Amino acid sequence: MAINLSTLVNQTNPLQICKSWVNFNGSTATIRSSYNVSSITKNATSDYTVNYTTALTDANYSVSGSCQRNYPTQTGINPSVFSILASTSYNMITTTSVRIYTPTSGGFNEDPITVSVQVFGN
Amino acid sequence: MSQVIVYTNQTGSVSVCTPSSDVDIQIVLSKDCPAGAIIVDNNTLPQGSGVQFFDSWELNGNIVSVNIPKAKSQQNSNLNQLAYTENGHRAIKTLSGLTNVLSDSDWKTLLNISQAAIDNSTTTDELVAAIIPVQEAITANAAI
Repeated sequence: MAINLSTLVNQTNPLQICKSWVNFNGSTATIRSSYNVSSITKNATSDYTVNYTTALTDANYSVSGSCQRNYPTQTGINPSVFSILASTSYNMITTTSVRIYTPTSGGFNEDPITVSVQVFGN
Repeated sequence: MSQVIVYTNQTGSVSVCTPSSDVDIQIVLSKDCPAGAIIVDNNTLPQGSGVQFFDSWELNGNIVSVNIPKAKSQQNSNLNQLAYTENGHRAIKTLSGLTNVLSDSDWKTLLNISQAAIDNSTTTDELVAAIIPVQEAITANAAI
C-alpha cells in the first residue's frame, strides 16, 4: 500500500517533530550536518551557542544531545553529556539559541570531536 | 575561501561564529552576532599549535592572535589537569600493588621540568612541547 508521506507528516503532532538538530566539530565549530541551524558560535573551549535559523515559539523546549571524544588522547571518561548553564547575566536558552557547555567528567574544558544537539518543543 | 565571524565576548576572549553552509554569512552577522562583530577569512585565524590555545585568542582590529602570557596560564592549567588525573591513576596502581613506571620523586621532577619549560616558552609551539614529556610518561604508565 502506498503511503503519502506529506499526509503522514501533516497528521503528526508538531510537538513530536524535531525542531532543530546539528552535528558539529567541537574544535573548529564546523557544522557537518544540520536542520534549522544558522550558525555555531564557539565562545570558549567546551562552550558553544547553537543559533536557530527560524526561532522557536517559546523557550520552554527540550534540548538533548551527546558528545564524542577521542579516547585515550582526550581525558574525559564520562564524556557523553553536556550542560546548559544557568546565569544571572546571560540567558542560555532562548527562542533563538541555546548555549551549551561540554566539560569532561572531571570538570575540565576540552573540545569534543563531535557535538550533537537535538531540540523538541513549540 | 571560507569565512567566519569574530568578536570579543563578555569575558574578553574571542568568540568565533561559523555559519551553516546554507545560510548567507551577512545574515548570520546581523542575526546571530553582537554589534562590532566582523567577518574574517578562516585562514587568518591562528593555525597549527595556536588552535590549541583558543581561550587565549585576542582580537585587535581585524587580526586574531594568541596572547602568549594568557596561553602560558592556559597551558599551566592543562598541566595541572594532566597531573590531577595521573595522580589519581598512580594512587590506584599503588593501592592495587602495581608499580608506577616513574617513582613519585621522578614524577614530581618531570612536572617541575615541564612547569619551567612553560614559564620559559615564547611561542605556542614551545608551550605544546613543554608538556609532551608528561603526556608520554602518562601513556607509558597506562600501558603497564
